Amino acid sequence: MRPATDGRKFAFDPFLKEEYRYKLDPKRPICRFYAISSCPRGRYCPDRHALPAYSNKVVCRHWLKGLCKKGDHCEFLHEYNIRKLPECSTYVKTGSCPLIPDCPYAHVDPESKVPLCTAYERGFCRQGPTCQKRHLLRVMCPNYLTGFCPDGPLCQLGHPRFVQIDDTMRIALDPAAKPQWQIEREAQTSTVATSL
Amino acid sequence: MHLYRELTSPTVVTHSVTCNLSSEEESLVVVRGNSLLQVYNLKPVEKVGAHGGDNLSELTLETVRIASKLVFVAEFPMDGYVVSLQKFRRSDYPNDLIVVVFKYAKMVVLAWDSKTMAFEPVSMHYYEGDLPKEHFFNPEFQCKLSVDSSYHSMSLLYQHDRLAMLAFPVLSDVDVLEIPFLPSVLLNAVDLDVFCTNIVDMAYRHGYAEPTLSVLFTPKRTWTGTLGLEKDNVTYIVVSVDMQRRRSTLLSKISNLPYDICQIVPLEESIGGTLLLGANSIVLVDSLQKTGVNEYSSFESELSIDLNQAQICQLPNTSHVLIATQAGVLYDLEFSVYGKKKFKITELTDIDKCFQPTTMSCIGSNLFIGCQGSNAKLFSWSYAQINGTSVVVNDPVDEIDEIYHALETNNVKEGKILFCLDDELASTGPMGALTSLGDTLTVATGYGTSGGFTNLFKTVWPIHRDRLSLGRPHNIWGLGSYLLASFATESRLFRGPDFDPVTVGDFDLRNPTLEAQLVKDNRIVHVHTRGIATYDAQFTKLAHIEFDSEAVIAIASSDVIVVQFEGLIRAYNHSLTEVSASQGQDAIGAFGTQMMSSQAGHVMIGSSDYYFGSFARFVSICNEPVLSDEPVTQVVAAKLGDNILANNVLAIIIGDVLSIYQPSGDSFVKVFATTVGGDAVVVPLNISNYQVLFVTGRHPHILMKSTASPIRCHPFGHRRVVSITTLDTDIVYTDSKYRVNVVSLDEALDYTTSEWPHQKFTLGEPISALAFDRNTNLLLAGCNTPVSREALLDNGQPMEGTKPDASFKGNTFQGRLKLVSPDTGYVYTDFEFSDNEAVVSIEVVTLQMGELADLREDFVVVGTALLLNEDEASNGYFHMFAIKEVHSDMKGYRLEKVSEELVRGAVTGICEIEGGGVVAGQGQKIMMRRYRDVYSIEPVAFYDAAIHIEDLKSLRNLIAVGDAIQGVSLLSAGVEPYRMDLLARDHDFDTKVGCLEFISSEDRNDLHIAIVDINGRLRIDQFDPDTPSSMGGSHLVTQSEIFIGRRVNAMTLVYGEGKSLVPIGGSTDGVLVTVEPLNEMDFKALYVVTEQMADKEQSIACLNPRDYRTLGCKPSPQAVIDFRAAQNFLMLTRDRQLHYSRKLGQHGLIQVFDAITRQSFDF
Repeated sequence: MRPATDGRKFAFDPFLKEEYRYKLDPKRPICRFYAISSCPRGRYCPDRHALPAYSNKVVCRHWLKGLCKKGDHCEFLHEYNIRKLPECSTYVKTGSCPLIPDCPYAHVDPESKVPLCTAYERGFCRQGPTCQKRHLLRVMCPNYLTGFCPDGPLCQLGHPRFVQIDDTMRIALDPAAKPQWQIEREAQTSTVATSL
Repeated sequence: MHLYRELTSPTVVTHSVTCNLSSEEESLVVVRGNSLLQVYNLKPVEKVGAHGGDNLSELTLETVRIASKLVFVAEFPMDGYVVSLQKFRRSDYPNDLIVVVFKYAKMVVLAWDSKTMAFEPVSMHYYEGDLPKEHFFNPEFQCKLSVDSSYHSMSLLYQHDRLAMLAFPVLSDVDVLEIPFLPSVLLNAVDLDVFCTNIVDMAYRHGYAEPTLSVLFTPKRTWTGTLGLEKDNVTYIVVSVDMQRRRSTLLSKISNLPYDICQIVPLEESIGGTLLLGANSIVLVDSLQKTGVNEYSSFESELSIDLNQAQICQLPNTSHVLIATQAGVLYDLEFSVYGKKKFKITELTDIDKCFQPTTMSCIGSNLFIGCQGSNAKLFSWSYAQINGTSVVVNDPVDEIDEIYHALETNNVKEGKILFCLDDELASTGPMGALTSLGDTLTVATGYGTSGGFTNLFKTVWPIHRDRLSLGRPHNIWGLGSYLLASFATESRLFRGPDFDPVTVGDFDLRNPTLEAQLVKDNRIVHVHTRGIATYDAQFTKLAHIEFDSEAVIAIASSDVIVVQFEGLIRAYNHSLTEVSASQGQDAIGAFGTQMMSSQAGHVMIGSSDYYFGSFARFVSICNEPVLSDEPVTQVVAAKLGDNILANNVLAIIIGDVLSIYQPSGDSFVKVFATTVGGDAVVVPLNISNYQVLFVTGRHPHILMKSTASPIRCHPFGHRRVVSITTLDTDIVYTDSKYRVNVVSLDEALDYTTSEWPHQKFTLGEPISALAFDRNTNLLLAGCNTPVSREALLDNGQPMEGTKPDASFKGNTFQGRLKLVSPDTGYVYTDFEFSDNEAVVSIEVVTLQMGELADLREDFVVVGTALLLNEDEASNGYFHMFAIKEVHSDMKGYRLEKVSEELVRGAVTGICEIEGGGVVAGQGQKIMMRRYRDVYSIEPVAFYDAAIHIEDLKSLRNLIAVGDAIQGVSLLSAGVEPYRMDLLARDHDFDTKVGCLEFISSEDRNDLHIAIVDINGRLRIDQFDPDTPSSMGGSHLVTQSEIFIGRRVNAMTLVYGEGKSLVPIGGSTDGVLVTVEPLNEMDFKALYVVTEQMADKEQSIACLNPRDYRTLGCKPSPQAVIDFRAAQNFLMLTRDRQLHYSRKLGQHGLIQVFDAITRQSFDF
């Protein structure tokens, strides 16, 4: 059991902050000068030096191989974020990659790309197994079912809300036979239309 | 400014030899941990038990037999790395001498001085000279020493092709008797034979009048890849060396021996010839014949016994040779010496296993086996009575004996030999993984089935029994089942178990008590301020005297009572007859002739009194220089030991230093010294099996000793102890608030093997990784059990060239994860990994559950290695477990697997970083992971290392990475965004890192990294971007380097003084080591005295401590203080201490004592 060292201060902490930009507030504002051209304060600028479209980027393919020459000016992400890895083109095309497990790119299961069914997430999907969207099965939280779950939204179990669900919401059946009066009315309507 | 400190002494016996150090008895000299020389004698004791062997039915377990017990005599820490230990005899010395060989071709001959109980150097032989400057110099070469059995010469192989031969003058050479040794003869290997090069081993043959050497060498080298070309490349020659003419004659030569033959074992005349040992083959060379020793008796044969690093020893005057293998199994190689030679190998199954044996020695009818993986054991052996017939004793007369005039004819016995365990030297080695549990350190120890873990405590924590409400007594005494307490104006007597105040018999309680004691014949001596009275066991008054004035001090021993009045000291015997009276200073101690009966004549030299009223009279006994201004606080004569053997010792407190003297010959020898608080008082106690000395005061200590151990001094609890006594089997003491506590010592602990009391738990398999879970207070032990290796490829097919049907296979490891209680050793659950998957690292990490919420949970992360081949890991697994509680009949726990990930390379290091992430060193990549979803983790950042990771440690968000070749790197991990940056690295690319750990002092807020390489060197690097030599923070600056001579296997971080962080490491030889930051004042005080002592004080075997600590180290800007050298300052006499501390100024001595005291108590 190691001693707790979180928050321990060192004499070189200012150096790490200036040189490597550690211990900066992640919610600090984006530097407006850097977004336009360049910031005159350089690395001593307290604001974030990131382009506005920073969050939309994917990980730089060259950086993954250690070959990116742009450094901080690269428009792609220099961070090993497994969710933002570029997709492996071979896997997308063929469904398999010969470089697994050494391939540095993301191999996304095609089924995981199907969006989740919002109706199913709410508690009920009328389409059932024929639904084109993905039904992610979750075990119902027993605490939630009894009235209150202390974990709230952080609970890993399912919290179905059952909103907008009434008696008509059920699995779709075959269309029922139309009543006689409706058939006659439709026939009359079609006859009038034809005569006109 | 750092201090290197060995918290415990080495416990693994690495070398041993039996010799007659004195004419009285045979002694056993052992070296522990390649540096601690110890001397033991044997003491016969009665022991219940039977001999091992097949005849257990004949000898029942209740049989009482005479067993041998090892009795500790003395120990000497040496400033050298011992590689060999032998004995020999010289005509001008009545007893045996010992030869100690150190690393780098140093050889020292020592003789035992019985009066001072110390080794005196006889001669020194240094051969290294300019060797390090020569080409192809191998600094790690282990020198080999061989001594002629007739003690005519000895040879030292100090490089693969270099020999030094040393001849002794013989009795007939009257002219040369003045010379202790003839000049050394330095030879190259080619001088023995023109083809001789790259010598593997050598030994003197038995039974030759002239020195005759057997040499094993490999003229053509080979390795696994060239076995097809060069396989049988070992050559064996026997040469006779003429030391006078410096010539050698080749007697015989055998070529084309198997390439794995690596050891020569010369056999005594009772068998004759020489044994050559290979990896799994034995070859007997006898009269130019070579015979494989196995059931087939063919030359090149295979045994199903792994003889790699096996120890072999011939029982004297028998036809039995014992082989101890690394797996702990003992084999009896029995020879039939008449007619056609027959051989039989028998596995000895009925005796305890000796794992990883390091040395074997025969001492009389005992066999001593030193082990690295288990306790060193002392067996006694005897011949079995077979069908009522006695053992056959043959008296062979050989032609060789007539030709060479053998020195003596030995009777050779044949028959089955039985062994039984007599005694053990406990060991805490080899220390592997370790983790700290607050004040306790848990270390993986042992090997094979003796593997397990050991809890080491830096303080003796007594078991609290009761707290008594007796008021606020100033002092207490135990009188049998009664407790006598002294108050300001009176005394009170309490009787257990309720401890109600009682009035018994004639006992006088009207005055405050100064001293009370139970003496012989169950009589009670009671000294109060107004008189002395003696009582019998029923408290009936036998005699009494009244004082004229009020006494202030009273001291009683077993046969004398010293009472001090204002300006007058009187001494009485137990009949209350005054034996002495004088004017003097304060009475400081009392002992008479009875306590020191064996040394009575010596004690009373120069003094007819029974007490010590002044220091001058004391020093006349202890032979120390008179220093009238030194305040001697107390002198106590008592017994110290256990129920088998307790020695008379003299405990003396001078200032803040407690010294223990032991009588030896005409004087006393200082055997122990330590610093104690200024208010310390020594109290002799009899606790269960031990007779101990207790030191009261602000820092209470307990001094204990067992028959086979030196004196150990342990801190006792954390409260100040004012007075202490024993009551039946319990200890009663008053603390700083004058509360009376009843406590007892935990009898399950071993108090004497090591400086730290410890308790060992055996799991039956060795532990390779260890972690502690603070939520459940459980240990997670990763065990690797050796299993027979099936050489299969990834696809399950056998490897090319392997023999699937071979009976003798190599070993691989099967990993297990065990959830163990650290207090009882109970295993709650046992998780077995897949085949050939070995556990390498374990860590309990706290991961953040999600990015937004500050919700954290502990997980167990296990890194494993998939062993494709023997010792070869190609892939590994990153496992994550959660500990779940099980509610059934009894509380239990189970391991639930959270996730696993197959990674490239073995996962050799795991650590947790600030922010709730986990970093793993896997092969050449360092991967940072975080918690993602329901029981799954994802990698978020990585760093490519230059070479495979050896060790990985973290502090806050800083990660120190050590690899096997290129040294140390310091990384930093960031969370927003996830990244890992290389901050600095060590540019000394010659460090083969064994393990590393951070050091951080509280006051300076600096960061150092302690690195121990595989050659036993400790280096301290600092990350300091402000230092110019750090090149803007890109280089780690080497501050210090010191040779510690130990292989440290693992280190962990603990709190040191205040909030400073210091590492603790465990070594193969059972030593706990640490490096602590030192403030400037203490560093200066200790540096000044240790440097002077290194220059001026003679150390054992004439070694220089400064040279030893710089062995193979590069010059560094700062020195590291060796705490053992500083502790030696306490062992010096007062005038030497004053002499060395004078450079520090007027109060230099106080500065040095304060520095030593601070370092002793702060940790």
